This record gives sequence, structure tokens and C-alpha cells, in this order.
Amino acid sequence: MKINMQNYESFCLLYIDNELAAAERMELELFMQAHPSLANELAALQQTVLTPETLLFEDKAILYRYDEMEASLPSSFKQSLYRQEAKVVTGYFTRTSIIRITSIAAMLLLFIGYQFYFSDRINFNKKEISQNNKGSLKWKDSQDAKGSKDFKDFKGTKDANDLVGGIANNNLENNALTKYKSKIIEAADPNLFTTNNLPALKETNFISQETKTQNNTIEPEVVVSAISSETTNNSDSDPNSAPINDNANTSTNNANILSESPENYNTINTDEHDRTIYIANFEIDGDKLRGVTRRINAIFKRNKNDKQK
Amino acid sequence: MTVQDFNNCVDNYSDGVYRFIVKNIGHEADAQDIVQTAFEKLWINRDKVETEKAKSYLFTVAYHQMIDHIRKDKKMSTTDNFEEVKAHTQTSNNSELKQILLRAINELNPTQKSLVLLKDYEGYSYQEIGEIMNLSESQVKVYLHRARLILKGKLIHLEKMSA
Repeated sequence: MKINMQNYESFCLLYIDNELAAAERMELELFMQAHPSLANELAALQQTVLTPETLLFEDKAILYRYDEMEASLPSSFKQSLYRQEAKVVTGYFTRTSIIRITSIAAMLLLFIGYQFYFSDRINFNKKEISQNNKGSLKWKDSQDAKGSKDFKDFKGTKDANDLVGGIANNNLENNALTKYKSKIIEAADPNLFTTNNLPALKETNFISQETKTQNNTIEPEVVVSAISSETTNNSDSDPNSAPINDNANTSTNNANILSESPENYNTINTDEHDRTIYIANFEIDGDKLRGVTRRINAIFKRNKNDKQK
Repeated sequence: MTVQDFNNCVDNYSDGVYRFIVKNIGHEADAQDIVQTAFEKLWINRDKVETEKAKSYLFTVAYHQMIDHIRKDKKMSTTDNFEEVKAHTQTSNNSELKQILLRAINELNPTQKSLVLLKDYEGYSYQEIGEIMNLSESQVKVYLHRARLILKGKLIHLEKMSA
């Protein structure tokens, strides 16, 4: 673009703003030399240009930065400084509910304390009852055995063992057998033993029993039957009954004693209405607890009725 | 940008930014606040701003801060600006023409004033001024030429008045 009279002003403005290229600057200077009347306009425009001034920002210290300024706290420490709003629970325990809970707790404490205070007395009574039950048991067993020795005593005591050991002994055994033989022969009806074979058969039976005792394999039932046969023979004076049948009867009786004796003990326990509840070391009487629970329910029902009203 | 680069920017550009702002608004304390805010933003964004572009970044931030300041405070008066600028200028040529020019510049609108100051004081090109003031190059050219012609007319008028 060539400089002419129409566009020289814009070239002059670009010239004072230093926005012209070197060639354009030269061209404008030549144009001004060619047109000296326009040189005043260029000078007037040049007067609008401000000359740079020295104006200092005095407080530079507030702008400087230092390495220490970059120091920052670790994120873990920052997290420890955070705070969170806690949830506030209101109205969970009302005044009435606190009174109810405290009243129930007080009643329970009184009840447990009462039970704890009289626990020794209750135990003492229980011991007495158990002793009485044992006595009745012994008495009942003796009644069931019809005069025979108590099975328990017989089985468990040292005397019973001695007795078994004595039977095992040959001398004692022979004596017992001879006694038994003589008693059977005496009790036997001579009319029943008309033939000579029958006593022989009986003797063979006793001999077989004798061989069993010699082998020391006597069962308690056999021993008991032998002893009971003695007692039955002594007590029952029925000469018509056969000795074999007597043995059978007595053995069945003894078996009944063995099987029934523990059942009798259990039935006694079930008859006792024991409603004691054990909580750790505390004993709570069920009947009394029932009364307490009934009272508590009555209190709650009363409160409900009051509220409904 | 390192800490050292930032401090170099303080040494090199703080005076220019301050001069640009104080010539525009004519209030020293406000100008210092604006300069401080501009350097604060540069420090915050030091990882994003390249050192070579730190100067234009500072002028850009300062200019927009100044516009906000002018919008908030429209109590600027020509007389006050002139007196404050006069008090803080260290001109060797404190001639009458210079005072007339400064008075004429203060009568320009903020955009024209900024264009003149950025061009004459800082020597920015039209393109750079456009980037700072968020204007196109042609806009800068038109607005600045218009401002020059206004100043020329005022200077002629004031010279005649003084004469």
C-alpha cells in the first residue's frame, strides 16, 4: 500500500506506535519530506506519546516468596484436625421410662437379695427332705424285698463282697450245699418222689450248681437266688411246692427288685414340686417369681389404662 | 516456575504493573492492592504459567482487577488522579506540556487510557495489548488511534487555552 494524502494519518499513527516495518517507516519519512506541510501533524501526534516514567513499587518485600512458604502439613495430620458433627439423640429415655426401669431394677434387686439371704435356709430344708426321701427309699426297698437284704447294700458294701468271696470258698460252699440239700429233702413230700430217679435228678442239678460255684463264676443273681431260697424255705412252710419252682420264683422277684428300685427313686423326685430356677449361683423360687411377674404386669397394665384415660 | 523465577518476576515486573495501574486509577494504595493480588494469583498458578509469559499474565490479571475496581469505585476524579500521579512521578522533564498531556489522558475512558499506557509505557504491540485487554488486534488499533486523535485535539486546545 502506497502512502497518499488520504491514508497518511493512519500511517503516521502506526509510525508513532512503532507498528510499521522498516520499509514502511522509510516510505513515510520520504513522504513527509515531500510534503512538509504535513510534518506538523506528525509532530502533533508524536506529542501524544507518553515518555516512560520511573515509578517504583516500593514494598516489594510483601511480594517475595520463600521456600519456607511452600511448607505444608501432611494430609494425615490435616485429617486429624477435621471435625464432624455428631448425631444428637434426644427423647430416647423419657422420665417415665427411667422411673419404670429403676423401679423394676429395684424390685429385682430386692427379690434376688431376699433369695440370696434365705438360700442357706432353703438348702438346709432341701437336705432334710433328701435325707427323708433316702430313708423312705430304704424302707420301701426292704418292704419290696420281703425281708431280704437291701440290694444296694448287698451289691455295694464290703460285706456283700465278702459274702461272694465266702461262697466261692469250697468249705463254705459245701456247708451251704449240704444245708440246702437237707432242707430240700426235709421239705419234700415223700409222695411226690416215689421213684428213685427223681432225687438223683435233683442231685445232679445241685452238682451242676456246685461245679459253677467251683469255677468262681457265680453271678449275683444266682447268689441272691440261693440266699433268697433259704429265706423263702425258712419263712414259707409250704411243703408242696417244688424247690425248682421256688428258685424260679425268687429269681424273678429279685429281678423285679433290680429293675424297679431306680424307678421308685425317680418317681419320688418327680413328686417333689421343685420349681427352683438356677441363674449362675442364685436360686430363684419359681412360685415366688411368678407372683412378682404378675405384680409387674399389673403395674404396666395400670399405666396403660391411665394413658388411655 | 520456581521460587527464584517468581522473585525475578517481582523484581522485573512489579514496577511496571504498579505504574500501569496507578496511572490508570490514580490511587496508590488501591494500585498496590491490585499488584499484590496479581502476584498472588501468579504464585497460585505458578505451575501453569511459563516464565516467559509471566509479564503478560501479570498485566492481564492486574488489568481485570483494575476494571473490577473501577466498576466498584466510581469516585475517581480527574483532579485527584492528576495530583497523585504528579506527586509520585519522577520526571526529569516536568514541563507544562507533560502536565497537559497527563490531564488529557486522565480524561480518556479507562480502555483508551489503558491502551495508551500499555503502548507508551510498556511498549507492547497491538497483538499483546489485545491479549491483555481481551481485544482483537484491529480493535486495539482502532481504539488506540481514536485515543491518539483525541489527545492530539486536547493538546492543541489546551495549548491554545494556556497561550
